[in-house]
Amino acid sequence: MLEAIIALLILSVAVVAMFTSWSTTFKQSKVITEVTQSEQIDRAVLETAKAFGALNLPTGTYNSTSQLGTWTGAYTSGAWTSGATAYYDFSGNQLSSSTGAYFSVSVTITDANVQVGTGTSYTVQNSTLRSIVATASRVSDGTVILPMATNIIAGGM
Amino acid sequence: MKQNHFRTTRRREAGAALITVLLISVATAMLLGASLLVTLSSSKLGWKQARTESALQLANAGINSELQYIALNQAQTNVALRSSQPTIASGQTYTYPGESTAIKGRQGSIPGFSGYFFVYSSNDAAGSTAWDGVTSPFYITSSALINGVWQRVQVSTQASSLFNDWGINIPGSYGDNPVTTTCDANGSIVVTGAAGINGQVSVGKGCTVQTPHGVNGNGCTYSSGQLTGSNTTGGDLVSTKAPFCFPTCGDVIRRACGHPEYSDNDCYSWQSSHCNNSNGCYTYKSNTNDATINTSNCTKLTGGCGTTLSNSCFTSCGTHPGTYTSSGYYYWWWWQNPTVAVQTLIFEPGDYYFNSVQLAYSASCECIIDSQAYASGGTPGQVRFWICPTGSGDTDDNISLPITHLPASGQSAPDCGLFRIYCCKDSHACNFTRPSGCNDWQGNAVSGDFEYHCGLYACTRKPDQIPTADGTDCQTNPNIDTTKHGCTVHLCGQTTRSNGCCKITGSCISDKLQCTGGCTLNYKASVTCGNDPCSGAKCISWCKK
Repeated sequence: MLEAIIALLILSVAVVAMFTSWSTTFKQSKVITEVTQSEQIDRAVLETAKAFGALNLPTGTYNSTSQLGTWTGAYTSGAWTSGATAYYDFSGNQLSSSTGAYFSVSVTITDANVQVGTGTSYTVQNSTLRSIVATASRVSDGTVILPMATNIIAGGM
Repeated sequence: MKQNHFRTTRRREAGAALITVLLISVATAMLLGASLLVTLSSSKLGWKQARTESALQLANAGINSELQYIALNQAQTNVALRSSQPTIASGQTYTYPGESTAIKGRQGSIPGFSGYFFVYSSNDAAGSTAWDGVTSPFYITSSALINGVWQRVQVSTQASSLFNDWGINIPGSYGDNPVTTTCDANGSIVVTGAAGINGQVSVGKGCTVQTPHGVNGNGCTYSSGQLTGSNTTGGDLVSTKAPFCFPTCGDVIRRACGHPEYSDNDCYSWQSSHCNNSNGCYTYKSNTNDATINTSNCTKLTGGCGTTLSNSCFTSCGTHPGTYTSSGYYYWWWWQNPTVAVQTLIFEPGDYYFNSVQLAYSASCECIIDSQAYASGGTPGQVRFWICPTGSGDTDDNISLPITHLPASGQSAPDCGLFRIYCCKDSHACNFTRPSGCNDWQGNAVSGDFEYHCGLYACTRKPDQIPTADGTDCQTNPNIDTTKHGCTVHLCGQTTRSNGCCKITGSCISDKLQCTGGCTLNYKASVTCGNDPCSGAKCISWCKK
């Protein structure tokens, strides 16, 4: 009788451990997918920026204190949209709105060595270095999953 | 007896169940362990893959950062300051996997992003010799580190010509003379490309300045007196905090000759002994009737041309066939003008050194730039005029004679990248004039612009300010040479533009610019410019190391 009770207890612990482990495995698997998808999305955004070229990306607002130009927005519907956020589902497909979105992606372009126009406007020149940071976040809680960054210059990579 | 047997059997069954459960538990534990191990490995792999990609992007960022660094530092006299060196920075402790010494190169990062890149430029792919500022193509190597993950990339890059960035750039703003650009009263400056100007401009009454893109440089020093909407039309006006800086003529020669220790005068002497004045000048043969410039009709000019280029150089040249068809003997016939013999001086590809250029307009003088080497049958290439001082007694230089630059076969216009004029006389002017009242060899009035298809370079003194490392601001130039005052390009055309302007087609970079009458700076990118001073570099191939 005692042996049966011990066996039952061991079996119970094993079953509980199995379910807990499964849960952990599933959660971890989801995290891996999140990271992989974020990497793919960030990379696609950076490659799109490179394809546009340093002289064609949008310009933002010049800050006379930092002497840098900054643009924030996202690549949505085939264009760089100032102030926008891009949304993607869990499979990495871009969505037209936040409905059903799992990832959100924002882009910040910081420009050094620019030509300043009137007010806060500016234009880029051949020697302007344009630093681009793409940040993928989880829509549900806003947690940043993976930022990725590069910079581009006319005639460069 | 039976009772004992029953108890023993029950105990055996219970023990067997326990053993079975234990076996199941062990098997389950092994499965779970393996599953967790796989999951954790996958997780680690996933993160590593993401960081690897991120590090690759950051390594590429290092390449671009170096391209900017090179573009901003080409005015540095010290070659080691013109690019990041393949040496270990002081205090550097990071080590690339598989290497025994600390990482080489300049350390940098992207604002708002964790991780570093280490980048340097070198003549060779192995990174053993620093880029000398001249060799092209050269290599840029960048290694990036993100959370313990390294990536390294290398690009082969081609130096880009500083004549290909601007229609004009006038950088010579000095504390004792901040005016870089002067437009005399009733004059007009038309620039078809970008116009970059450090310092201040002086625009006389009735003068107009026109450009599609005016850039006021050195905004950290000058906040007034620059190009404004009231003195400039035709496009947008912007400004940069950093000044425009270019190498001096001396720097350009120092790089070309590979003697960084040379003084400016040493450079001019070196250039005078490395020129083609004696063997690169051609003219028409005396017995030819065909004006086509080729090896059959042309011959080397005996004795070449000296170091003073003036109208007298043409007296020993052959006559352009077909000219001098009627002499003064027939002049009394009212229908026939007297003609003059046009003597033709042809410059083949190469370097020509002059300590004085005095070319007045004359219908009997024809100056031809034969960058295609039609006359000699040699290899097409750049024709470079070096107008340099000789010490004391230097004078301004004057060119009032049209210079014809022959296009390549099948082309209607020449590649302006194949003709360069370097005016290296500090405190002097190089005057290009389109005079009035010019008649051609037949006595007919010459109409239209005097157009020079070339790159014009006249920098002898750097501005008092230089850009900061990232180009966002300026700083005092630690090597201000107050003994110099800059070189001036003075263009002089007819006030009524339709009567003829002085026109530079290509690019003009000069410490100072003065315009009298109608002046046109018609920007045209150079196609062939491998021998030009470098303004930066462009990637031509990429590889992951």
